[in-house]
Amino acid sequence: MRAVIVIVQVLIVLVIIAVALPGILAMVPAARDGSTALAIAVGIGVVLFVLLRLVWPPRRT
Amino acid sequence: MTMRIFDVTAAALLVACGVLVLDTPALAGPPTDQRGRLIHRSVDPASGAVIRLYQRTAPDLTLEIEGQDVLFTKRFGVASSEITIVSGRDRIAFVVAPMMLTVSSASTTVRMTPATAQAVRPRLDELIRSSPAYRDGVALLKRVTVGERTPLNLLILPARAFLEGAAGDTSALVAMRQWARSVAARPRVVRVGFQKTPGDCWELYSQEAIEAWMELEDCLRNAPWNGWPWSTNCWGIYDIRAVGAAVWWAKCVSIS
Repeated sequence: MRAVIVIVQVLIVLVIIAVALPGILAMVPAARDGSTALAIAVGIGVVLFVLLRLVWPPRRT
Repeated sequence: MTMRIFDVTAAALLVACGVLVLDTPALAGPPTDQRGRLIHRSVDPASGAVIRLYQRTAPDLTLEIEGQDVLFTKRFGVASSEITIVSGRDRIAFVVAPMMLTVSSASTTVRMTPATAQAVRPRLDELIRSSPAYRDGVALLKRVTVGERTPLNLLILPARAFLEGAAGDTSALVAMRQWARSVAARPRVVRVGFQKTPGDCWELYSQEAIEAWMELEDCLRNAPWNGWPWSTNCWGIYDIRAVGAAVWWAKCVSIS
């Protein structure tokens, strides 16, 4: 079950990156260079993944 | 237990980030120099030669075949066609221009036109015969084996026929005839294309991604009313296009 949650979290992060990246590329011309965009995508992915791990699924206290 | 999974996953993500960041030059695309952009690179399994194809403009291509101590270069698509072979310290170059063939080595240059062909031909033959670079270049091209129906074959075979023909060898010419007959005997649509590089994939992806975003902006601007629910249309189409583009990129670089 936990593995499934991790997979779902990774998929959510990938979808969010896929949706966010076009906006970043259109608004930040400097990010159009492949390596910069990749670094941004990876950065967003790591931050989102950590946040997602912390807030979802909610833990029972 | 959950924290352990989290730690392991975070560590794996960090390692993946590190690997990706170190590998970014490959993803950023091949460098461009005076030969143009590198659009194809492969290693011939039979000879071990490295085959590279550069593109300066759409019709201006440079083919490079690098064997052990031999470098064969052919430039296509310009007003004149140039073949250069460098082997060790020896070098021979053929420039085929309209109504003129120029062959030059390190020390000699011979020009032949239809008017001077009879007089110049013996000197030309002598120059070609005495060139170790010529022999090494022809031997290299003979060793290289690319698929019969690949675009590379269409570039290499005529060059081989031209070079071998200069020494009276017609085996490549015969191979070309056989190839042409086999193609004519089996008419079909042949898919011809060079393998995309990660740089090409990224370029195409970023074009599509930026277009998707522009379309979203246009859609939101032209929506009859701003805000929900009218803008969900625009966002829905954009989401599908953006995710589709990302999946295409992943497929293109063969991650998925």
